[in-house]
Amino acid sequence: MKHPLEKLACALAVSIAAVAPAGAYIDPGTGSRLLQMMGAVVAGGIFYFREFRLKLMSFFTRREAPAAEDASEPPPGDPR
Amino acid sequence: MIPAAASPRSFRDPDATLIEYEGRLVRAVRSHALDAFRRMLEDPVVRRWMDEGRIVRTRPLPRVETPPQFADFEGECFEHERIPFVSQPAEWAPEMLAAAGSLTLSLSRALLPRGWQLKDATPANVLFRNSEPVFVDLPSIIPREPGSCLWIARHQFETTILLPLIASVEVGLPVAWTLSNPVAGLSHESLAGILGARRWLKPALWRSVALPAALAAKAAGGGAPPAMKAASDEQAQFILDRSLKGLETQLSRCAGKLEARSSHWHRYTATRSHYGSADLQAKRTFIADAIAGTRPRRTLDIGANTGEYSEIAASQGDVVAIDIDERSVAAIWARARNGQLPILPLVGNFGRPTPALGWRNRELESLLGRAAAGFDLVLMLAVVHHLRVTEGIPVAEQFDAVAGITRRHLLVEYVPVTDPMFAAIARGREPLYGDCLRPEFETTLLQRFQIERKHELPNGRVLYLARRRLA
Repeated sequence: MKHPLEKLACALAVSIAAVAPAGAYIDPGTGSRLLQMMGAVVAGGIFYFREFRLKLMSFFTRREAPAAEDASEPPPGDPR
Repeated sequence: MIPAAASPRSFRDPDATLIEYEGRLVRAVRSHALDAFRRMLEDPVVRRWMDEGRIVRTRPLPRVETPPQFADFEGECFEHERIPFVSQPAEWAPEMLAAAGSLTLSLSRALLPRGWQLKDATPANVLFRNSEPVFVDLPSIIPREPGSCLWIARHQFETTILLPLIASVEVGLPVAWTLSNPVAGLSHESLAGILGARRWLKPALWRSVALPAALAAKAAGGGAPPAMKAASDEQAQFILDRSLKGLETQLSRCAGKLEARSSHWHRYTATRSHYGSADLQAKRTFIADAIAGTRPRRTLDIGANTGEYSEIAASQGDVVAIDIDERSVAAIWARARNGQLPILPLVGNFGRPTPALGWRNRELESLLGRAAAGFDLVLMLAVVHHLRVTEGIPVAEQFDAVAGITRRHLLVEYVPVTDPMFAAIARGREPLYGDCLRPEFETTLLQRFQIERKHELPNGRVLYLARRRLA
């Protein structure tokens, strides 16, 4: 275990796993809320990745689609 | 201002209160919350859920029908439909708690794109209309601030629904123990202590139990976590939906494990050896005839076991079936739900009925209080001797309590002291139970009831159909 990141991960795991009785007041729900926030950060990242992927796909679809677009019916109310 | 007549059941909510007035359930919504409440009632999702019976049906109450104590109320009153029997979450089988949790999550997800959220998520927001869960606490639905990406009720959902289910699945803790306080439930820290090292050995328990408990201890005294907002409301909805889906996955994992369990009492009906086929046929015939003759609109089945006689009574009207065993209650619930039978099964011991709970013991009414004069027929089939021997309740006390519950009839099965099932629980102490001898049993019954019909089975047991004497 030479890599500093490995050491850090190991120390973090041990620190979390060993639950010492806390002398201070424990606000009910603090741990649950912190985890919810972590989950929100991850999900927020997935959201951006998904948006990026959709934009990328629509960019390529637009480049390949002109022929199909011409053949399609115009939507109701389309001024074409 | 909170009106003096605010129900002790709903005094915690600053937005609204619930009272009972001339047999109707009236929700008084205070002026500061009224606009949002009205808009919520008109929302298409809420309307659809009401039409489907998954949200309690609610209508604005005309001014002329407003209860007098709200005459000067700066708000508006609404009327809810009545659910036939109010149950406490501590009386549910774990499967019923899972169904209530599933309903809560489905509603949260359906409301999300409409700009609403649930501000709390306790199982006390749900009641059962027979076997179907119904969301009843409409003031819990409030507008969601655009961009907010954390569900404010998530912690309460975990402690009052998810963790009690995990405790049931992992270590067999009864829901009655973990939900004696349905607002607080079971904390992550308490469950972590109960599970010990196991919480780290099962990956499924890391997210739900181990990490929240560990992080809470580490964060103690560190102040409140900062607020969080997404860059757009679309992103916030995406985050919240994923969070709710994650809870649904954890909930369905628990529900799947519950399916696999079984118990002694659940197998009782299939394995009973003290009934010959002639006895059983005679018993079923007498009970079916008695139920058809008395036509009860509401029946209470005490000691329902797997509910075979509750099902007969369900042909005439609503049934509340009480049994001491969670697995038996779960089996009745599953059959009632699949067959759409009007049966509400509840976990309970009639020898120690659910007490009144909550602040000043007034938030949740006791079982006897809810059942008082509420049934046309009470079934006590092969249960009196259990209450007498195991719980030590004299027969006269039992009939006295039942006379306060049934408006008309009692169908009771007498089990003689010589019966092998009596001997099995008395274990040589039969002389202590003189009121279980047949002449004494009948004399005690006659103090409160008139015997209309009786039938002695070949195995020595006797069935009585009795009518309550008027006081």
